[in-house]
Amino acid sequence: MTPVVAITDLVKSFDGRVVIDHVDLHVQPGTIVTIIGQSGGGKSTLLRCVNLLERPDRGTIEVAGEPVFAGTRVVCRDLTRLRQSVGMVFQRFNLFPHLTAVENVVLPQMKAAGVAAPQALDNAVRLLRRVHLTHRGLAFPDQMSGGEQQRVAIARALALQPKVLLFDEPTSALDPESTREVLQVMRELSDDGMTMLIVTHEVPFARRISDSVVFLDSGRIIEQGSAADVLDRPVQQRTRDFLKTFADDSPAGLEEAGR
Amino acid sequence: MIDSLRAHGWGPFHVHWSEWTGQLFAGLLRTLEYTAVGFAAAAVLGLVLALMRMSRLRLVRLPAAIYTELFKNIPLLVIVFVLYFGLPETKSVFGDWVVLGAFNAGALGLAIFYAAYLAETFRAALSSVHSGQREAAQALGIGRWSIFTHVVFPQALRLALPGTNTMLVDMLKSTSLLITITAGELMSVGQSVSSQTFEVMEVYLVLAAIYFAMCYPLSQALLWLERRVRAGAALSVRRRQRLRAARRLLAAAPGGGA
Amino acid sequence: MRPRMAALVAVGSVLLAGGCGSKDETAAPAAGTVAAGLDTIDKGVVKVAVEPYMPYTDVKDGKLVGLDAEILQEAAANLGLKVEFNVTDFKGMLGGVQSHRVDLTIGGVGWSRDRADKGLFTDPVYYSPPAMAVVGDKQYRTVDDLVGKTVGTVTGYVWEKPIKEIDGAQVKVYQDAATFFRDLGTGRLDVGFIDPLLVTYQAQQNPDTKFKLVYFTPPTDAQIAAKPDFKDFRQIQIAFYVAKEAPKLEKALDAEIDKMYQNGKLAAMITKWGGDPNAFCKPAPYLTSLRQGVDRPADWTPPTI
Repeated sequence: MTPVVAITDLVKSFDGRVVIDHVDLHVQPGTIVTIIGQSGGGKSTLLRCVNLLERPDRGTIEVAGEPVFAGTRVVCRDLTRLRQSVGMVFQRFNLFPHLTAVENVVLPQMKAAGVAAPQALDNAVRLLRRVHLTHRGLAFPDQMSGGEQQRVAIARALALQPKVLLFDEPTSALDPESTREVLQVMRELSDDGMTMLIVTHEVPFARRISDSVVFLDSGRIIEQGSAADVLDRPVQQRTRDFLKTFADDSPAGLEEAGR
Repeated sequence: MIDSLRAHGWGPFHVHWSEWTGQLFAGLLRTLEYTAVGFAAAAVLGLVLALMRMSRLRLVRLPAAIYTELFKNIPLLVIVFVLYFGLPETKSVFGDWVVLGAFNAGALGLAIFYAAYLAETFRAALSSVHSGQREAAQALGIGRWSIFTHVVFPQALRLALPGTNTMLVDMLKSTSLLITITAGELMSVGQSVSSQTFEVMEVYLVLAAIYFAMCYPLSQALLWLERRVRAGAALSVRRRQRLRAARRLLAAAPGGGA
Repeated sequence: MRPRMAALVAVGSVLLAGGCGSKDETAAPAAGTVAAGLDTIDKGVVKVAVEPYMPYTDVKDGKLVGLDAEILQEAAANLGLKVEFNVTDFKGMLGGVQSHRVDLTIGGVGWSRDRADKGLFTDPVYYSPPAMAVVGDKQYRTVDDLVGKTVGTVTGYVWEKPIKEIDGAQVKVYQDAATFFRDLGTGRLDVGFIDPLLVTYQAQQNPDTKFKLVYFTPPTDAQIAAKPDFKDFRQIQIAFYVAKEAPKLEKALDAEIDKMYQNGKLAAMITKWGGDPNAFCKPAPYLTSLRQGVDRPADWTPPTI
């Protein structure tokens, strides 16, 4: 099967420091791939290369079979279409504060995809229902909790019917209750067949959601495999050292999220 | 003193104010005209300058920086004098069009002066919009122009409004300086009344009252606008309609609460 | 009427020049009996406020010069008064008299009812014919020629009211004579009302000047009946404006002024400063009745040569 996201031999440096060091990554359709590692290990940068928010130095990127980056140049012909097919959810939500929740979901449809207002509104309400927030549709971001905001952000990212959703530390700014809400929504999306690529340094969260896990350290993939393999039976010493810092952290709330 | 009170005006007033209401009203209208035109021009110019100062190209940033520093440090009166009295001296070089009429010179002077301040206000507001906003919009595939008009500008507006409103009221008061170029605005009429009636205190107190009666309601109205914008209220008809439609749809939709 | 040619650039409308004071050494203090009996602020001294306004008044090398200045100096010498002057602007001059900061002010001050309410006027020191300043060879003769034109004067001058009554005229009021002349020169003004000798003085100083003086046919009685403010477009009597608190000074000056008409000194001064004694020293018929019963007795007649 064609991977939804295919990254081959990617390299990226900032100010002479290598942050992505020859990384290969394939994301199969309908799966959830989580990238874990220390903060500053290159995870977010890698994610942001997929929708070209960051420009890599060298390598190949393909999204749903379409070439995005090859060699040393951007080869994507329609940046708008690429970004519509790749949805992104941010750590700090980045909702538009001057618009209500429903308007946040309407705006990208109207301005990026040219959808007419009535249709866009219908879609928006449907998406808000999907994230269980129709009762907050007319609230402004500053009136919502973190969990609610992130769920609206997810609805917004879904508005353009992307083929893959990218999550950049989606729960790092959330309390356990909100994390649970978001986790729930992500599970439901996955059950519906959505492909997801998640970056997080919260291992318990990764454990709960992932199909496969990639451990990235200093720009290199140290270990990757199924979630159970990497997280419970790590092979590499560095992986073990990293996971050890989470051994004593088992937030009770997250353990109970499975109930 | 009693003698002064007799046969002059009503009550404590020495001036027959009823004789002057026509001229005062005309002057007041002129003041408002100068303010409206001057401010519109200053706002447009200020926005252009702010965007220039935020450009990546030094060639674009530099002229805007020079402009703002220059006109923030030169008095308005000097600018107005140069435009009205100074320019005509260059007639032989540039032609007759440099002889600007009082209105053009006055409005232009106001615009040039206040654009420098508005540029700073706008730049600060635009810079304050979190970069995450632009990123999120980019990640959604929204184009650069739409990002500016629908994401950045509305947020910058709420930040810029307080400073902008102050400048507007300030400009209204500054029109009084235009008396020096025969602008015929409210202050000019006041001086006319004073020099013909030889009443100084009374005339200028009345004038102060008129300026207050113009400026105070204006600043209150602008405060109201600020509050509305901050609360995210719909300012355009289309948005209000969309929100109404949204309210209906959301009320009908099942599946709230989680 | 107040023709004034300020030598300074206008710096703002509310600039009330504090002024600088000094003593004029040309008045010789004579035996003090006459002077002592006058109600000046300081005995033996007459304090006058002036504005730089050639050829009517000005200060050169610490001395008062000009037409009005010479008339005052002649009168003061005969009365045994020392002249002390202080320089201000037009508003400051009239204000100074009305608040009794000075004894009097001189320099093209026209008699007007409003001013007479707040101060005393001497007998007219001369009569200013109605005239306009134009550029080039424009020929305006009557009020009707001014319809629809851009007309200007300086703030506080007697013409400020009547020009606003001209049909369709665009009125421009300047802060001082310098800016007035500048706009006349650049063509923003079609015609301006100002004291006539200003223009002739400029022509004397600078033969290439483009400013010309045009003598004006005064409006008819019918026109004045229709627009009462037009009365100020006629010949104007110039006098010295004395503080209300100094009636004795005013009377004394009247006597001196009347003498100057009779002994030819006034005519000589007028001629010296560019005026024609036939125009400047003879009152128009309507002037006779203007002040009778107002600030002059019913049998008063204006002085003439």
